[in-house]
Amino acid sequence: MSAAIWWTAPGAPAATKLSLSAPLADLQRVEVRDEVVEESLTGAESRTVTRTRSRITVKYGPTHNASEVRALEALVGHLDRGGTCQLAEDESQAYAAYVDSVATVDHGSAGTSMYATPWAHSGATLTAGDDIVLQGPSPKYLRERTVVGSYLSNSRIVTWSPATYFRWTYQEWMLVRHWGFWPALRRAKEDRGRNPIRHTARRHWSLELVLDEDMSLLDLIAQTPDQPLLIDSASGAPSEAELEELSRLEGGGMLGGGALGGGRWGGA
Amino acid sequence: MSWPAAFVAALAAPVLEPRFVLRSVTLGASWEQPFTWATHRVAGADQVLVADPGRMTLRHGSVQPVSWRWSAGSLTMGLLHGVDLVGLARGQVVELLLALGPADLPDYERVWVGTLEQVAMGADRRWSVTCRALEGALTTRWLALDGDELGADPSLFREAGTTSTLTANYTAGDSTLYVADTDGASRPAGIGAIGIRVTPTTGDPFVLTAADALGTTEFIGVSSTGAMDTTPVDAVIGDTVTYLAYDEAHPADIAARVLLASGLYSAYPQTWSLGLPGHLWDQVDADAQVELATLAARTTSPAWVLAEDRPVRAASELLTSMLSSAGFWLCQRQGQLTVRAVHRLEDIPVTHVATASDIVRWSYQAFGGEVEYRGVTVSDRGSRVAGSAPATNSIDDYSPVGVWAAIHELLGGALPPVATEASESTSFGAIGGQGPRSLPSAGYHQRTLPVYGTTADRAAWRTEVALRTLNWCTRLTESITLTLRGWQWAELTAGDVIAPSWPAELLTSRRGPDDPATKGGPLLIIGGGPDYPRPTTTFQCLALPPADTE
Repeated sequence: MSAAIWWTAPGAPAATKLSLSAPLADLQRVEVRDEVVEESLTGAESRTVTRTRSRITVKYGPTHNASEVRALEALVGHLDRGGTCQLAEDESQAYAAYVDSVATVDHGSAGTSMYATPWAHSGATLTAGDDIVLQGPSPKYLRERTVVGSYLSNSRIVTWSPATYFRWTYQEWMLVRHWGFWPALRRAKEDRGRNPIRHTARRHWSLELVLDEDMSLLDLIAQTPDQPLLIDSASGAPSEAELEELSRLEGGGMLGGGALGGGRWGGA
Repeated sequence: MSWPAAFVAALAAPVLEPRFVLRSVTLGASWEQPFTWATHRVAGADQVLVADPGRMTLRHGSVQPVSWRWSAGSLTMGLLHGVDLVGLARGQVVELLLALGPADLPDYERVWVGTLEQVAMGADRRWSVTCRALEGALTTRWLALDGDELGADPSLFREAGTTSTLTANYTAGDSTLYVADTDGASRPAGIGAIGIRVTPTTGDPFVLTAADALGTTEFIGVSSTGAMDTTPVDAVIGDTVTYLAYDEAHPADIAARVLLASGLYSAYPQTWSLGLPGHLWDQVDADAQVELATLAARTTSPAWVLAEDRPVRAASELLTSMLSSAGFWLCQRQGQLTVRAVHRLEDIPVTHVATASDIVRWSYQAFGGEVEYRGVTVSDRGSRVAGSAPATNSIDDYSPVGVWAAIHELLGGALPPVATEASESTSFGAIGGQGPRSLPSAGYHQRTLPVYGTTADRAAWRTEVALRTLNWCTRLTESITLTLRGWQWAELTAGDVIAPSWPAELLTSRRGPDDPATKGGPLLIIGGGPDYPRPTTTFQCLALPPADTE
């Protein structure tokens, strides 16, 4: 069960896959919410929530594999410039796809049909018994975990058990993904500037990265939910999400590379 | 139009997930650069995601007690990066939209309107956009008119003050007036008359109204008596006539006519109107405010007169001054412009009660005002003309020329002492004939209204304004800043009331001993609103202690 990381350098013809030679040493998740809470005299609460995402701390190593360390250094440079990556704890379990009719997924739903996966480059698929996560957009950020009962790859119909607890009906989108697959990650703002690769006498190397789910990117991909990402650039047009990331990495000229919607200057 | 009930209900939810859109309002000006800036992606809309909801400050407007002049607010919104500056113009009308959860753009509700003031990058390299509230940013017209050359004067009332000369002798009472050229004379279509000031060779200038122009050299339907308390005298060929921007109406109606390009008040000539779209003005709400004031007869005499003899380039000041003299102010409510007026507290309907479950925090000042007045004196323009003007007054009160020049000053609040005759003024002393209790105390709060017409009608105006303003001048108010949970209070604006239900042990006040009835009484909101993006609403309020004799 080796971990894998995918990322695309600007200008590269296709995605880079970094297959780690060993499982991750650790992966811990916390939920980060940008919210303001006020309480009345009687303790009644009022909150505004503007942003929510998962933040994971990934540890890998120690490793002696010099080529792996070199690849990780390139990845860290990419992330420090604002790039994104995908991470799978188990590279065979790296499937994620958007639900094609969220309105039908209510409390007690035991399955749904999905769009084709935009992350087809991973080559993974769902199998009965896989641990999966259902998640929605920020700031509501509905999230629950269940297990695949069955999956029909032709019609992309998945069933799961236990049934959903939450009411997904009014969500803008709903993502089904392997529990250990993180399809849009960027380095947490607070973590940048710290060298995440440490060594002991240049013999043992270890990695500790703090990564945030890029909820904006998941939003953007959801606009064209079945357009493949990280495609070979010779075989098709880049997606809006890829243009956005390219804009972020390359800069948008005088007006700066926008963190959001950078490819769409000018509005209406 | 008020917000839909579902939106208000959503504003009251314990968990708020706001999404804001700041976008341009298209007026049709050639120089407009449409934009839609959003904090969250909006399905189906061509937007740029730049706005940072965490760095947003909406400063609400407030009204100044006693003078009842309105100070407009502003909006600052952080941008995640720069925006396309090419073609962007200061003064573009913008609207702040809000949705609570996923919504298509048509389902967002307008919560604020303003004009684009500044886009800036600070030393911290962070971008921000600043907007001024629309009611405080009214200057000149937004739109060029058909046939305008580049650079044509966009001033309001730009033809006002155009002069011509008589081409035939005029005898006082004539129903026609012959001039060299009627060009520059305008009137509100269907509802008004042309205002003409005649400066005779012999005698004082006077004002006539004409029903219309016939051809290019004749006015017909000329009034036999003078307008604005002037008396026509004979005039001869060659005497100067000056065309005015003239209207007689309730000040709230005049304000709407000046603001709007279309809708109910489309009657003004294009150069008299700022050209705002009708959906930015809440006619139903403005009507309700006017009706709440006791003088409901808004279209009959007495005539509240707008008479401009020069172009106006500061429309906000014109409207603020005009409205404040009647105890009205132009403000925003639920994302639209409207008017509010000072009323007796008991006349304002209580629509919102805040309980301890709603109150997050408050601060209290026992003495909220500067001075207590002994009473209120309201005089009108007629009394000023008819009465004996102070000799030191630089304005010639007997001259209609002085009348025009004086309009701005009269409405501006900086009034010289006015000698008034008893029959032409309305005085209200403090309740029970007692003087003020707090020091320093002042004399009578004075106010002069630009109304003309019959004595009885003028008295109606004076009484109405005096009654509404009396208590707020002669009793020193308490001042309370109230922060409430949620945003449903955003339905209210300055001039409305809110009734907090205080826990009895929490506050003693000048409104009596530990009596929940008085403490639970309504507070007059004079400023504030929702603290976007914080989940609270903060109001600055005034409370009115009972009179000594009560």
